[in-house]
Amino acid sequence: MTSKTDNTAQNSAKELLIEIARVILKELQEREETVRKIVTNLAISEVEYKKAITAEVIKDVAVEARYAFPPCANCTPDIVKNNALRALQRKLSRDQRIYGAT
Amino acid sequence: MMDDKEVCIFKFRSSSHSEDYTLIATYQATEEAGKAKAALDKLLQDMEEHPESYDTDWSPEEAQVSTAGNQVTFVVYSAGYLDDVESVVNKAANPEKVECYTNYQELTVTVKVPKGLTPETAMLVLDKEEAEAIKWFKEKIGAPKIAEGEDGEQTYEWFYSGDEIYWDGCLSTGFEFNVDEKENWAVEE
Repeated sequence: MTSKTDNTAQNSAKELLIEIARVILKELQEREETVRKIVTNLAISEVEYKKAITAEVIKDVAVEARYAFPPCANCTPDIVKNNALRALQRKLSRDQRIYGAT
Repeated sequence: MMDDKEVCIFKFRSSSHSEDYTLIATYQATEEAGKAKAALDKLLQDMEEHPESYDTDWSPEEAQVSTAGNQVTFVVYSAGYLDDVESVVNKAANPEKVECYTNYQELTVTVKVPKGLTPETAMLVLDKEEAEAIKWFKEKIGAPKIAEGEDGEQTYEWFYSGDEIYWDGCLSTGFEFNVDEKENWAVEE
């Protein structure tokens, strides 16, 4: 059985992840040229690529997000957001190297 | 408010223990499987050159990548750190399906039953655990291949591929079935 505090934390984490997804998609829009070059060598469309990489980033920070709110609050939402942006950068760099985009 | 308490952040591993992970991606054509294989080879090379960019518990030289027809198979001993691999097989080409197994096994399971029995009637005649095992294979794989034998017997045969279900003479088919103790059952790896 989950307590009211747990439910609130879960909802807050969910809202944080939604906000992170929006930030990531905005970030990807700003890096349209990089995305376009990567996708040239892929079997998926730009839209699909953006969705896939956003899902990868969200998966990376989902556990941290869960613990960014009371009663745990082991880190802050801002730390989770920054980690998400770092994860995005790491994944974009990986894909640039693997799929030959420069 | 954090007060003056020490703050520790733990990043949990995907699983508490490591196993052989087998990821099989099936594509529409051999060419697509070739593209995925090439991309996986590049991923492994990139892991060697940029290890700091990856959060895995395995090194690239431990991984095996192979193709057979329209399938690409990736095998590594890990606690489940396969996100980068999954990312590549899903993006480099359009897979029809991607399956992931732990301690992947391919088995041929045979059981001798009296001639003329259908699997349904065999389930009524045989021991409870044999009936349960037949039911499990029927649900997981489908109807068995039936071969007529001598001495009023016939053999049901299933080919199984997937997560490990057979070890130490036992089949794990929803319960522990000591198949090696049954003379009419055989499992070949």
